[in-house]
Amino acid sequence: MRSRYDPRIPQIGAILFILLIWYGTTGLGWVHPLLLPKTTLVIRKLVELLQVPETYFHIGVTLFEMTVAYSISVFLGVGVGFIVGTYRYLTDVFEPILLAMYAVPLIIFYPLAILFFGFESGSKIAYSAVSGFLIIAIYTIMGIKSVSKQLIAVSMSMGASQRDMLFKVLLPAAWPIALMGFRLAVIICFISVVAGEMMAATAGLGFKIGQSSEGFRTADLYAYVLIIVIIAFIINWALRRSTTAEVV
Amino acid sequence: MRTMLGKGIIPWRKTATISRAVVIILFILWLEFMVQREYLDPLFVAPPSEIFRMMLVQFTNQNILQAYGITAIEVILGFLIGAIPAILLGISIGVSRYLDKAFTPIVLLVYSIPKITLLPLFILFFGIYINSKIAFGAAHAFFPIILSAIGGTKTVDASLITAAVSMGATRSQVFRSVIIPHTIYPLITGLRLGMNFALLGVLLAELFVSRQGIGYYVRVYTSGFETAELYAVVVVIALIAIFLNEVMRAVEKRLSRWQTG
Repeated sequence: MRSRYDPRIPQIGAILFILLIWYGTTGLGWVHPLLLPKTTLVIRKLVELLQVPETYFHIGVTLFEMTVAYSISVFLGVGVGFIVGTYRYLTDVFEPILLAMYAVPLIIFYPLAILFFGFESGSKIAYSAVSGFLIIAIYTIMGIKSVSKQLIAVSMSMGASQRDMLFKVLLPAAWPIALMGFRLAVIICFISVVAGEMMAATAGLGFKIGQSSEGFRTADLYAYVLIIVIIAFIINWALRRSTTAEVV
Repeated sequence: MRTMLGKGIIPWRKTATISRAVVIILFILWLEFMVQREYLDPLFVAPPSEIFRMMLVQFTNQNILQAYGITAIEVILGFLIGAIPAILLGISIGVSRYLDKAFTPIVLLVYSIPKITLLPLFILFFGIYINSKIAFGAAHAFFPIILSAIGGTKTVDASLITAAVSMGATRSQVFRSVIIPHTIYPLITGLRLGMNFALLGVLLAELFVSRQGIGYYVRVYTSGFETAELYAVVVVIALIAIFLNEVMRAVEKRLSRWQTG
């Protein structure tokens, strides 16, 4: 039963299938090498890149920007989300504004971020922090809203102090939904940083992708895309590990 | 005011709406004040009055209007090209438990690849003109829609299907009268997200490389430090995005009304 439904089998199968098509079509010369370079060439490029310290510098820049942006977005998102979420009236006033902002493709504000913070890390951090902030604030509010009224009424009637209310009732009850926001924001912050770097930057993985694509160095481009995909998978995997461990 | 509120002349919801409007107006006035007094550098921030004036100017500018039109076409085509296969595939995957187990993880796996990194590849394959924007928009729209279609189909209560079948419903009747009405609400949510994502995808592609469309003007204004022009375009795009989202949310609410009973 388990082996038949093991989700890893079709996953691995799909990856192998794509690799096979890639290998076959490029090997037979059906695709222009500028569009899709040979599999072996890209893998060789990837190995090559992983041996150069410069690559780790760019990975470091991207991860640094992402970490700073994420920290800011958690700090502001939880703060704003908590204040807005705990007061019913503030929720009514501000939640629609946050939701409306969430529907806006924030990338259009990125040029403004460049005007304000320049071409270096500042603009990426600002853009990414705002993206993460919105998600975390929205999920924190949703989490607090999901706390049942009865739970609050019961703990109040049993004489919970303001502090107990906060730390023993509201926060733990809001946690599962807020956590979803925290998780989503990690990926959002990573993607926004890379997107920002691709638009205009002086360093970082996104910058290298933009550079390779402008120079039509397709093998480099694919290799950098693979590095980013690998990092994204690691982040996803780590998040799934850590959060299920906490919930269970 | 207090007594009025107390007696309930102005309902709670309405005062929230009024407060929201006040907050937004205060923010605009604050921005105007800050720029006029040059607490904020006018090179980087345009005063709202100037942005508004520029919006009116741009609405009479043929080139800008045409750019909005091109972007709109890209978004609509991208959305449709992403949405139609996503709905069909999603429902087919969702109705079968085995297909769901086999393919949903693959969809999730591909979904977790940051699509922005693939943008240069889209441009390589589809060129720098309208095609690459449509394709990138479609790729963005596809995933939230297929996931919601799978999710929506899966949540159909199995006993409802059993009941329909035992009362002699044919396969297509089960599909039309049971599965589709139950899938439609999560699907609409997915379509709303898909619409937002299609807009995001198209704008990303236009901002990265383009000769036309509104993203092109955003780039031109940025590099020329034409702040008021830039803000005007950004504000209009944001308002369009908010408007689209609100329309879809209204549809969502309307279509789900029968279920709450």
